[in-house]
Amino acid sequence: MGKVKILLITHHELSFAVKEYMSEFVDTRDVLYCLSIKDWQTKAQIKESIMNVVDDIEEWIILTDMKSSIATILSYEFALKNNVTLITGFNIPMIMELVKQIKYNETPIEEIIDKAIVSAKQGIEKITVK
Amino acid sequence: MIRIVRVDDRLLHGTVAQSWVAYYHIDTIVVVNDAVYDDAFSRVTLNLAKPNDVILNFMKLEDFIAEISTYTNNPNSNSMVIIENFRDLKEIYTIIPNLRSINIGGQRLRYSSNENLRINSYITLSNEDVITCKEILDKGYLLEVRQIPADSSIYLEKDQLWEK
Repeated sequence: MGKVKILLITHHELSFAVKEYMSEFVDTRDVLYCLSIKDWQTKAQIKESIMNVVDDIEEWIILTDMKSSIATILSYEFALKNNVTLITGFNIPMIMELVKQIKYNETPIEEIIDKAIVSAKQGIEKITVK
Repeated sequence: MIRIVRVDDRLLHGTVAQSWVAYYHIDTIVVVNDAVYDDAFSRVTLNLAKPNDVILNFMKLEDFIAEISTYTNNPNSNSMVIIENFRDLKEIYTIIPNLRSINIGGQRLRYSSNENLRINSYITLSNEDVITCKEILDKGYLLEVRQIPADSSIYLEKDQLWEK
């Protein structure tokens, strides 16, 4: 398998906004790719746009915002491929960890994903101030 | 009772699961679609969108027509019926008791053509759809264009609908 790459799929421009934000912290070039789902797109068109990015050469991690989103539903069949992992419910700490592990470490993909999910969960915390 | 009938080519997805279910306190979602009923993979993927504590049923069109009382006779249950297109809608809308308005959440056509009537970015009607919509309006039903409850309702009028 080739390099590990991330595809972020959301409605509207959220994925691109997240990438722009992430770029202030880590180098996302050649690692983080984005797709936005448009109101006018049919399911077939959305699948085509995913197919145009996710190849059979690299290891792909597809990230979606919500389990119930059309992005998750339509990405599900891509996750049947051996080189694709689908994770839903992304947050910033998760993506940060993924990018860092892919960019700066030679970590196996399963370990990368485990670490990212731990980071995602650790990123959610009620801050007690009183 | 059936609280909402929605036409949506994407069927069940986040918008429906997160907004309409909460708005109408839906406890049962019925996806009426022959192709989905016959395709286990499609059913698995649509189940991803099922909210917790909501029952999701898949039915063939003819079975839904035969068993509609399951959803209409229980006043303590709130059901949502989702269908993919106007061809299927035509078969069921007249048999649903107390239905006054049909929600159109999305009707995207794979190939654009000069023969299609574009209503907005997510609704484009074929000539066949236009004829069906006119029939529905003639029978006194409302056709509500509204993706989510927070949107304002826009109702299709006959003078907006013409065959090309």
